Amino acid sequence: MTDLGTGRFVTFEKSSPEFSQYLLGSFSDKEIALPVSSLFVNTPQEQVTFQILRPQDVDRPPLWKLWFQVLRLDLLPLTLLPPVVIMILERSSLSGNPLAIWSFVALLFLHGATFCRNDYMDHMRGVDRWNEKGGSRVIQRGWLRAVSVRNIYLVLMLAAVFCSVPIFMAYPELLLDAIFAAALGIWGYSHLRSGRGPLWLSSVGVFLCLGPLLTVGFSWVMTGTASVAAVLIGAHFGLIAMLYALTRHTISMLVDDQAGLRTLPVVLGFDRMKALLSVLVIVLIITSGFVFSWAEPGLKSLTALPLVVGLSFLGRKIYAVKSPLSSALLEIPANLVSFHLLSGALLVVYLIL
Amino acid sequence: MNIKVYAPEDFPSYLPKLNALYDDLFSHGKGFRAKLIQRVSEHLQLSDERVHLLAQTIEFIHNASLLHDDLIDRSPLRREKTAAWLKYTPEYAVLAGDYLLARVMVNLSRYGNLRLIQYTAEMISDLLEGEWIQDSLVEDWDVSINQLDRVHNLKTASLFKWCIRAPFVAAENYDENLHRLLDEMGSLLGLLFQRSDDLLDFDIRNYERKAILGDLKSGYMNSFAAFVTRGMSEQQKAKFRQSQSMADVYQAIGEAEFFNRLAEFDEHNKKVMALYDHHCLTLTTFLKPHEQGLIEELKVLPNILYWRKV
Repeated sequence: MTDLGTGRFVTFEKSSPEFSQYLLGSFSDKEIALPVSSLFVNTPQEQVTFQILRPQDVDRPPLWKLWFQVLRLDLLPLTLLPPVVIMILERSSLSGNPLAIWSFVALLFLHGATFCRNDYMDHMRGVDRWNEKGGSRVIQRGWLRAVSVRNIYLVLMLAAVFCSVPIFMAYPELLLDAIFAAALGIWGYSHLRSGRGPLWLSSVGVFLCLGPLLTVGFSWVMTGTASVAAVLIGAHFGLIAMLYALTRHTISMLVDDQAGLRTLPVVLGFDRMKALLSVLVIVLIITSGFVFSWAEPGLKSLTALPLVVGLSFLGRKIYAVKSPLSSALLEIPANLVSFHLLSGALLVVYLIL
Repeated sequence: MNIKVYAPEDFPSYLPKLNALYDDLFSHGKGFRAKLIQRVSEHLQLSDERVHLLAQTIEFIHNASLLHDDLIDRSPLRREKTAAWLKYTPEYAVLAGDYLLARVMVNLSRYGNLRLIQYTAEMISDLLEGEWIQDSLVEDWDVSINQLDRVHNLKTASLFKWCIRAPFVAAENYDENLHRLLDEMGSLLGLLFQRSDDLLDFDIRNYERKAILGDLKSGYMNSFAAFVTRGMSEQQKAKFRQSQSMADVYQAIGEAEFFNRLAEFDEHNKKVMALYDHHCLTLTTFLKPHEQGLIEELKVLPNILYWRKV
C-alpha cells in the first residue's frame, strides 16, 4: 500500500512552469515532491498532485540497499551470468585478457545505466505513476529525485561507452553488434511503452540483447570468434529473459489496458497469454535439454535434470494462475531469475565436469 | 425531499414474485447512495424529477449487484434477511438483477441525456469487470492490498464516482478536467468505503453488529486481511485462514499485534483522506458561486464512509 506521508499537497498542470521542476525534483534542496495522483497522464493536459515532504520524513533504506535497488542488482545475473558461462565454455579467464575485463565492466555499467534510464523515462512519462509495480520505485518512494537518477544514468552510460572503446578498437566488427543491440533495445522499449509498432518487437529485443547478442559478443572478445555453443547458450538465457519480460507485462496488463497501451498481453488477452507463457516454458525445457547435450552429450547431460524438473513445476504454476492479479503470477518473475541463476550454475558444472 | 426509489407501480404486475422480491430487497436498504446523489444535486439545482431518476438509477444498479453477488458467494443472508436466491430461486435472483439493469436503461433513455446513458453503461461495465476479477481472487491467500485496490477501484469506487459525477452530467456540465478530478475523488471515497467495510468483517467499528468473518470464511482475503497478514509466516497465515471467530484471529496474530496493525491501517487511510481534502480544495476552482456549498457536503464524506460517523 503506497504510504502517503504527512506533507502538504500541491497540484500543477503540465503547462505550469513548476510542473517539470517538481517532477524532476529540482524545485528545492530542502524538500522532496512525491507524485501521488496523476490525471491525463502523458498528455498536454496532464495534472499531477505532489506531496511535499522534508527529506528526513522519507523512510530511506541503508545506502547499500538504495544502490542495490536503483541499479537493479537483483537482475544483474541476467546481464553478467551469460558472459561468465561463455568464459567457462572457452576455458578462459578474465586475467590476462584485458579486453574481457573491459567487456565485463562495460556490461556492469550498461546494466545500471539501462535500468536508471528506464526508471527516469517511465517516471517522466507517468508510466510508473499509474503502474505501481513498474521500475525500482526509488523515485516514487522519495529515495532519490528523478534528476539524480537521470544523472546516475548519464554517468554510467558514459562509463560504459568509455570501457567499450578498447573493445571496438580491437574488434571494429563488434561495433555493429553493439549498435544493433542498442537500437533494438531503445526502439523496442519505446514501442513497448507507446503501444505502437510490432507487438513482438520488445520481446525479441530482450531475447537478443540478453541472449545471443550478449554471448556471441563476449565469445568474440574472448576468442576472436563465436561458436555454435555460444549461440545456443545465448538462446537459452535469452528465452528466460524474454519469459521474465513477458510475465512482467502480463502482471501489468490490467493497468496497461486501462491506459490504452496495446502490449502483447493486452492484445492476446489473458487466457492466450497464459497459454503462450506455458508454451515458452515447454520450449525452454526442450532447449535446456539441447544445450546441455550439445557440447558433450552423455551422462553429463543429466546435469540439466534439476532445471528441467523445476521448469515443469513452473509451467504448471503458470497454467494454474487465474487472473493478472493473482499472487502466484507475481512470484513468477523472481522464480525466473532463480532459474536463470540455476541454469548458469548447472551449465558451469556441466562444462567443468 | 424523501426519495423513494422503489414503487410497485414501476414494475409489471404480471411477473410472479417480482414485486415481493424487490419489496424485500429495497425495504431494508439504507439508500446511502441515493442520499449522496440528493446531497450533491441540491447544490446543482437539479429538478426533483432528475434527482429521483439519478437516485433510482444508482440504487437499482447497486441492488442488482447485490442480488448477483449473494448468489455468486452463496451468501444465505442479506441485511439480516434470507437472501433472494435462497428465498425465491437462483434463477429469479439472476433475472431480477438483470431486470433492474434493464429498467435503468429504459429510464435513462426516456430521459434522453446520451452522455449520462454512456457514462452509466461504462460504470456498469466497470462494476462487472471488478466482480469478475474479484471472483478469480477467491482462495488466493497471498493477494496484496495493491491488487485488491485495483479490484475495488472497478467494483466499489465506480458507484461512488457515479454518485458525484452523474449530477454534473445531468446538469449538462461536461468539463473534462472537472470530471477527471471528481473521478479521482470518487476513487478515494470508494477505497475508504471498501476498507471500512473490510474492517467491519473483523468487528472493527461494527456499530450495526453485522455478521463477521464472512469474507474469510468464503475464502476471500479482504484489504484488511491482506494488510494484517503481510510478512507473516506460512504457519501463522494458515492459522489465520482457519479462524472462525475473533478469538481465533487474535490467537493467530496476537491481539496486541492485531491492534497495532489496525492503528497502522487507520494511519494509511488518514493520509488518503488528506489527499481527498486537497482535491476538495482544487474542486472549488471548478464550481460556480452557487455550487460552492457542495464542497462542505463532500468534505464530510470520508468521516461518514470510513469512520462510520454520521
